[in-house]
Amino acid sequence: MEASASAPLARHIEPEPPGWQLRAVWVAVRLWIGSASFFFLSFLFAYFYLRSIDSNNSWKIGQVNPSIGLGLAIAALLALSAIVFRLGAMRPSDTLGAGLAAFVMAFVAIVLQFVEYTQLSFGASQGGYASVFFGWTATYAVFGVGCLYWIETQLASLWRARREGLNRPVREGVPTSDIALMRAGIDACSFFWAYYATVGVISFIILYLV
Amino acid sequence: MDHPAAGSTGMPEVNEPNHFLRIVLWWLVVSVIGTALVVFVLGPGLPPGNGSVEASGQVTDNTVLLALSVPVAAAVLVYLTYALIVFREREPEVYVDGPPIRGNASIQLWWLVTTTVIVLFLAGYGSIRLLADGSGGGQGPNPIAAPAASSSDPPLQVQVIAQQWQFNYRFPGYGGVEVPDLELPANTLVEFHVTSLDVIHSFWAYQLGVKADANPGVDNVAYVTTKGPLSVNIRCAELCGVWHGYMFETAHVVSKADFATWIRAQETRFAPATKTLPPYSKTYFPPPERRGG
Amino acid sequence: MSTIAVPVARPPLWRRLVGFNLLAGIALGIIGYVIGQWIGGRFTGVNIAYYSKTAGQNDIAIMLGYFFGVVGFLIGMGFANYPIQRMLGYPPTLAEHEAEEEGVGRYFRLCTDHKVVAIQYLVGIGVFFFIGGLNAMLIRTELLQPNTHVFGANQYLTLVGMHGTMMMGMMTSGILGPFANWVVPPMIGARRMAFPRIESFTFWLLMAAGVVLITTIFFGGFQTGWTGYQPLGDQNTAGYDAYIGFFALVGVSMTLLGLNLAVTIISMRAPGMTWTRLPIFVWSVLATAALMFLAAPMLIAALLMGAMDRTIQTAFYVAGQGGSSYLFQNLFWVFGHPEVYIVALPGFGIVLELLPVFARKPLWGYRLAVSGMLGVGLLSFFVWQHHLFVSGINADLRPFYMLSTELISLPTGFTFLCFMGTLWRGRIRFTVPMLFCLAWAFNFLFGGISGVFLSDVPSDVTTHGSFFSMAHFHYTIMGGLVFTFFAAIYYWVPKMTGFNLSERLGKVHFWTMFLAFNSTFAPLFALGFMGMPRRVVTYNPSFQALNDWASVSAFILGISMLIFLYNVVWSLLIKREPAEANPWHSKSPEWQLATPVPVYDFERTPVFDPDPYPYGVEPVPVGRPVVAPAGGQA
Repeated sequence: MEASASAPLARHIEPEPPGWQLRAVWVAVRLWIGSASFFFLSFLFAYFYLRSIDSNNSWKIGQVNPSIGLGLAIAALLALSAIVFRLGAMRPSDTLGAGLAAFVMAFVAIVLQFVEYTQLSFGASQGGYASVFFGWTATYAVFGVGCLYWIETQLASLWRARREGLNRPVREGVPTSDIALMRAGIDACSFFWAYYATVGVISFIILYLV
Repeated sequence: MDHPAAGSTGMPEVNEPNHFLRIVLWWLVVSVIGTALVVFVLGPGLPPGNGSVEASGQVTDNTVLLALSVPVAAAVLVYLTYALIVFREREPEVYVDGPPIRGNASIQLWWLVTTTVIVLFLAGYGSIRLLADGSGGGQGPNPIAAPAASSSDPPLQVQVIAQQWQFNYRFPGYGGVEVPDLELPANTLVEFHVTSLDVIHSFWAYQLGVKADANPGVDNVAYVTTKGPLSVNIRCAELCGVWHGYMFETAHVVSKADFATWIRAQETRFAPATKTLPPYSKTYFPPPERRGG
Repeated sequence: MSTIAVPVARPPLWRRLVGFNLLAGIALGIIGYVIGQWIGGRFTGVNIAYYSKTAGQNDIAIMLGYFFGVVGFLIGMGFANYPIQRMLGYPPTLAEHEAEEEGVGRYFRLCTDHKVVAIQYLVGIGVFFFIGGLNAMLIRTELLQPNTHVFGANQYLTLVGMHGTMMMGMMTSGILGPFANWVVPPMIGARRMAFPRIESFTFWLLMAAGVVLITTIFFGGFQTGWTGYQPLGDQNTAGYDAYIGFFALVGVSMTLLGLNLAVTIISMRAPGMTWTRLPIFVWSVLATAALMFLAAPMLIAALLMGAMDRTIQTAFYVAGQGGSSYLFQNLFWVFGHPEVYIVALPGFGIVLELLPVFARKPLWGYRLAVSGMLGVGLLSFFVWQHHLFVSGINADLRPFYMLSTELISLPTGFTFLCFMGTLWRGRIRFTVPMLFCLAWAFNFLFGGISGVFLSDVPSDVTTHGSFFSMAHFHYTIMGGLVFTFFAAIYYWVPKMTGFNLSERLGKVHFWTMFLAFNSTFAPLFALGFMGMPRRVVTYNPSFQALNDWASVSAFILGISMLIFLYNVVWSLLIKREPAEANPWHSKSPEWQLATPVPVYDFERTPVFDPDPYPYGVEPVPVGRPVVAPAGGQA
């Protein structure tokens, strides 16, 4: 089962194979997208389920129509931000600038979401649609705040790496060079951000247009 | 079964008895006796008894399932007992490995075929039984399986209105009268419309073999064909709040003449209340209140 | 063995108590709770002094209190340090100071050593398992008589709810938490999980969740049982907020635990450890992890909708305002049915992993066993409406759900076939772990067969919501999970702790538990058939004899747990008999490590040979036990 039993006891600990953590990051973000999808699918399900049941004729009680302008602005900003970040992540020299632009756009989009709540003409109790609208957009926005944090960490490490130099000695237990691990992190982050923006566009289509 | 290379078990192959044959024989004996016991001794006493046509159907269904499960359980248990006795390590101080048997394609195939056949039979049988008469279960607003009613005798509609923590019964065919206790005529097809005013309840008339959840805003239909006069235990079968444990009562199946007398008396007795009730509807929505603690 | 640990002078006790540890976590947790309550109170126009008098009347304040409390606790535990470092742009790192610290202190703080987290899990979950078990004892005490005599209706329902919620929430990680965290890395040749900080995070989050659930008793409890059906939950007092908080946090913990395990297994297998050589336990963990991180988010979403109903007054579950009680039932059971397989699958894995060791044979039908586990996992997403057969939802789909539910018995049957095949002509040793595995087969057989009655709609009309279904899932979950949980404890604890558990006490524990378990739950099948619904505080007086029988048996079951506790205290804390490196003569990789296990598990990444179960392959000299080479993997 094990390696050769005759080797003398080594005084040092052999580092783990290179590439494990890179692969782990790559796999993790994809599985994490699976998790997040099931989370948002629950709201999608709630939308269509409550709409089809229309209990007590209360899918919409009164005038329940959010303004398309704000919704469109949010979705467009998210989509643009994701495209910029993803493209920037593919070109190392542009990543920091593209990431900053993406971060600002994402920040504005999420602020706009909260601004929208103050502008709405209806309340959360006004039927199934209003419930789903508030539930979906609010959890989505909070999720987005988490993503903002994630993007920020990537930009901060890029910025610090640029200032202090990339190829510092690797810490104990990390066989991968910092630079590869950092690129893997940025790739994962931009990949997830693209997914997140896709969900945003889908939710715009469903909540505002359908 | 597989025969590993001789000698690897430390046991001479010559004296090895035919384990497989022995297990099959034991299994046959146990299953035949067990199945016979289930069908002829246990079967007639299985729940929920013969209070209605649907209840009798459930007894049949339970008997079939139990009879089928006896050979399955016997196969595993006989095998386990045999294996644990015959294949036990007789000298635990010494570590000797058994033969490295890693599988057997034909056994796996046979197992797959057998279990698939059993499962498909069960699902098919259950579906046929279910689609025949609905088996007394709640079927939602658009029932797909109803027992055949004689044309001269349309089904008796009874609306079961559950609320915390009691059932009330409304008879749309008798002026929409609402009564706190239930009586049903014998030998009649009854159409229950189960709904709720607040949280989820479940209308369980045990002896009739009826169970239907009461959801607010939902009309849940269940059919039952009553037989002779009978006392029926009614319980709420879905946790519905603090006094869920006290939500039970007794209903009665009485002769058709007695039922006619009873329902007339109820109509007269509750006439003033009936006027104040909302008109008969499939569902009722109480005014919403603030939610939370 | 050499490690990189350098002896340092131990600082004085008070110095060691200051820092990011459990004490700081509790302190910041309490402060956070008060802050959350205060914000919630301000937000809704009520001040905090009002709260102390009318505790539990403002859901927003209570929810915020829980949220800030948990966040404060996690900050105190030190989980914010690394994220803040990352915000400042420090590069990703795996090294944690805590990982190299020796001594008892590391069990009370963020520790990234998978072996430490596993033992934290074992003890932490054990505590809640015993609290949940105590609830069960109280429930059975109340059911000694047909009318209320010890507890009121509300107390009784709160006990029922806490028992169910605690067991279903905590024991979900009951095998994955302690045993997968400990065993999976050495089994696949890794020294750590892919994300060690997240591994520790899942544990401490689970503990915080457990405390949140217990606080329900200060807010009037909740009367919904573990299923928490809406709109009853909307109507409940503030105790239901604790239910939401608990299950949502458990959901987060489950999601991350599942992700972490799946990522580790997928991406960190040592050279030679191909998919077809993976030990069967790792396969079961992978299947379970997939169910976890896919199903748990739906639970979180369903509970968030409930929380919004109770706070910002959305109407997801209010039929009169366009909501639906079915929405919760659907979302809950789309999570809930994978959940019961999350609970059952690791049990399959443990049984099939241990059986070759004690039958001294390779696993019979490896590929069949793997496909069985994956099949169960896949099918479990397509059966959820069998919980709603009589609810009036989608009546025309019932034949489909009947079929899909019964189809699950096919892959489950594979596990049984592999179980039986491995015993065939083996040399079966009746050790304590083996006894628990054999009991699994017995219990799960009856659990599975009774499940057929619940999956068949005509039978389900009577058995649904009755004691029959209660007995059924106790046979599968307690008989399937808890028995294998103990099998795993008796099997792996000598390696995990370095000390032996008493074999004699273990056998006493097993026989008391096995007999008392069957004696408790077998009568409940009959009670359900006779018409006793679940979760009732009163019952028909004619059911009393059977109920009393079940109660007395349940008390004996409780005593068997005390025997186990005595065994643990006596063997691991008092007697402390050092364990051999490989007392079971197992050929599995984790048993080739040295005992006690060094911090870095093994010095070189192992290379695996093609055979995960090499029993009976090379002729073993008769009369001489196979002893693992000392010095671990070297």
